[in-house]
Amino acid sequence: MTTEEELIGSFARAARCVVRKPVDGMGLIYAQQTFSALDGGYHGFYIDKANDEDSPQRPECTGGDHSGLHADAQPQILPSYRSAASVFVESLSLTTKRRRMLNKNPDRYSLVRVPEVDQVDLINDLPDECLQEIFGFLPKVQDRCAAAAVCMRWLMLQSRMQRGDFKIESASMCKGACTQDYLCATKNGSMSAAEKSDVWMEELSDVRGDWSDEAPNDDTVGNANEVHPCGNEIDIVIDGEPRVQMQPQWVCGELSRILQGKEATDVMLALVAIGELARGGLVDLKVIGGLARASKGISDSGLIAIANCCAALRSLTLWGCENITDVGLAAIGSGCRSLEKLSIMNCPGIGDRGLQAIAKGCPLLSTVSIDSCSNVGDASLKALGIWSGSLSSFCLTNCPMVGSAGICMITLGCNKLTKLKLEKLRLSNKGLIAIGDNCKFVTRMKLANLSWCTEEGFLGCFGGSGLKQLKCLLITFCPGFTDLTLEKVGKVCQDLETCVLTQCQSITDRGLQGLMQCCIRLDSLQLERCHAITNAGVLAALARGKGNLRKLNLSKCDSFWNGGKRAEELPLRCLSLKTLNVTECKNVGVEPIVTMGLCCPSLENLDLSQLTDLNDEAIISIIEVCGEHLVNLNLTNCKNITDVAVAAIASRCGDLERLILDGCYQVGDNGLQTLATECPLLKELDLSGTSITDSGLRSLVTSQGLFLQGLTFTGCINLTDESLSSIEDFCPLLGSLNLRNCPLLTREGLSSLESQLWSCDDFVSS
Amino acid sequence: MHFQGSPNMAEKRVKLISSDNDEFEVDEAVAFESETLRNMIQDTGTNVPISIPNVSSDILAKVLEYCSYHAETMETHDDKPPITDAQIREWDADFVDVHPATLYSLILAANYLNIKNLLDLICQAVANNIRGKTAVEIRKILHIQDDFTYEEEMEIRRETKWAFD
Repeated sequence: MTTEEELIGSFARAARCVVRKPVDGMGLIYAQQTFSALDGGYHGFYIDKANDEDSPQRPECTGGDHSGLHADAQPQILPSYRSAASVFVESLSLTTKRRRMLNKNPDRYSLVRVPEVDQVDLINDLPDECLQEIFGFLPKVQDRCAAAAVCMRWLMLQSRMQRGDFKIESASMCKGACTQDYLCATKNGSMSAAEKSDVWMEELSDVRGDWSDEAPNDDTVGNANEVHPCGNEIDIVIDGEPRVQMQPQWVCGELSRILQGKEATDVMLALVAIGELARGGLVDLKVIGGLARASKGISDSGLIAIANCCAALRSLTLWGCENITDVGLAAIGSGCRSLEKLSIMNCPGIGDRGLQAIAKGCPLLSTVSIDSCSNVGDASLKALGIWSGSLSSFCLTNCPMVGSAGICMITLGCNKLTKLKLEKLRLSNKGLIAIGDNCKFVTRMKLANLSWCTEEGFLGCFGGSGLKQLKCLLITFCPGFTDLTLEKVGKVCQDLETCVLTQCQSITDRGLQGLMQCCIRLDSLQLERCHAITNAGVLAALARGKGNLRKLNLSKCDSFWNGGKRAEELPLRCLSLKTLNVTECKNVGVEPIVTMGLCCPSLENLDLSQLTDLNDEAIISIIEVCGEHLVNLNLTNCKNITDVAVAAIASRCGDLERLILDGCYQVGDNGLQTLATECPLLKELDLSGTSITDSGLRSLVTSQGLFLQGLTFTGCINLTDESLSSIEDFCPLLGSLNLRNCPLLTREGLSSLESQLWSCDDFVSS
Repeated sequence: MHFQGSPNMAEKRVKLISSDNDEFEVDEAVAFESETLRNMIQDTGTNVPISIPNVSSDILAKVLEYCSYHAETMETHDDKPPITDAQIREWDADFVDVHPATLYSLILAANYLNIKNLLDLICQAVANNIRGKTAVEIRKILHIQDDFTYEEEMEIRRETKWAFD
């Protein structure tokens, strides 16, 4: 018996030879003999096939009945041996296939006849250009999508088709072959581009009309195959009636797509490209690659498809796309000329050539963000400086190849820059000085982790002719940023409104006072983890300020409270301050906090969370001064406070809307009752970890449950279902409820309440 | 097509050699239907036989059949009535009513010889065979192996659904 491979080979050869020379009588006889010789193998195969899970969907092929096949094949034009042979070859290929869902659509599948042509994929022997010529005659979106779903090569070819590749005018060449609605209008090949696009639009709207009443009907398809084996007809019949024009709304809209993780594949990009060509409107594309999935992530070919079809793209984001190289990015540069926003992160394949192409090709580029791209260097920045005159926002993070030369070029060239962020770079003082000289219109600047820059560099940066319009300055972990620099900032940047200094160890009270003295517009000052700042310094700075500071954040300043002053020594109170945040200032004791509070009588938002030293007395004295206007109060993990403090808060803070007592385990029902009677505006209450019981909660909700919108009771071990029913009875506006770790609550108690809530973290899920 | 239909021109004959080393002799006007041959003839003249190494005899015969007919339709004879567009279309339709494999070979030949009208004609015929069919049907009639993974297949179904809604 011949082996399977030889069989396939011989049939393939037979098929080829029939192509070249019309079948004569002898050939037919020979072939039939060959076939009967193979009969055994053929049967054997189908016995195997019958056991296969895919087989039941294919009535013509199953059962091993080759006489049935003969009967099927005989009425057709081609000799029977070819049908049988082709079925055989095809079936073999089925077994070698990867596991596949053949039963995707069993009904339709079974209606497809065993075809009468040779069972070898000949069309894919054609080169790309010829296949695209063929696709050029299939401009309808349904045909395009169907063709794209045939195989990977077709998908990629379809995704590269551009509008001009479709020959909608040459349809009159084949009889009865075309959808004539758009064709009759355009018989002559000379059509202007504008006309073409008009026709395209009409065609698009027509297609939608067509398709809705011409759903792929199994019967239609089956009949069509039966009656017209050569496929010279189409099953969409166009008549002379005026067609209902559907409004192509989806052509005009602005679409935004995010392909993330598993979805970030070339296949998806190709599909997006095909859809874009048909529908239009894609302006924003984000591709967020998965982690460690380099082999499956998107590559240049996907990006080229996008570049081909999405000319209107304005924003492109590529995060974690490890397979993308300069080739793909260069394609975007030549295809998407209206690109305004580019963000790339963790794309090690992208280097200067790709970014140069973007800079040259996209003159409208206004926002560029490059993060952790190890191959991006000074040449990219130089190109942006030369070509991207309208660049207004530039963020560069963790690109080790970029040095001062690149920063010089881009700041010199892009003179419209308003937003600049430089983080984790090997930048020398020269780069900083260039920023100071060139960036005249920058209003927002962040400099972080520039450990190579010294004080001299920062002084140069703020001593140049630029940065005069700076409104927002963020400095994170720059050892070169010192008191001297901060004083300079105060003198140069008169418009400064927000100053955020994080982990600036060398900033002391002196710098702070210098800043506060000059920047009269300063609205928000945040000093996170600035361990050299002291209590006295801050108070003195507040005193020197011109009274516009509204927001002060001193969180995590561990040694903040050295050299504390007593309240009576203070020259004035800071009436402008509305928000004070002193969270997580460890080991500072009670007094400095109280002093701080005493200075700020107008506070609306006070965050004292994680200050475990605070006791009732401290709270009472703070609240006594600044409680009147308080709206938000956060006392998370202030473990020493009791119902006494809560009662004081309740009696003093009439405007309180939001109170967080998370972790204040000494607070119980008594405190809750005072809140219930004294704080009528309370909307949000967090009582997690407190010792409240059903009766306390009931007194709260009965007196003022009317306005409560959010309640959190995680870890309240004493609460039972009784609380739930009182909440249900008295809190009509309640939208959010958190009940994790409440062991006494039951699902039954919650069931009727749950339907009223927007969100509910219940005890069952914990 | 800029066919030069003067009687003097028609006397010139061109020799073409197929990949099977068969020799075909046609009027220059017929050969001029092919841009490629036109360029070659204009370079080398009609005396030298032109070798077409990647087109076999039977396919070349078909191509030349098409070219002769279409060259003929461009000529105006006083004695005969002109060939109508409808007749041409009918002839074309018969011409492409051949085995698909022959069609593909003709596409390759037409592409190589740069005969725009023939290429369009055949591509249109192949496209007609695909039009209106589902991907599964196209795979079936053209015997294309489905090389997508299950996930890819699902992505495609989801992403192309809009077109069929």
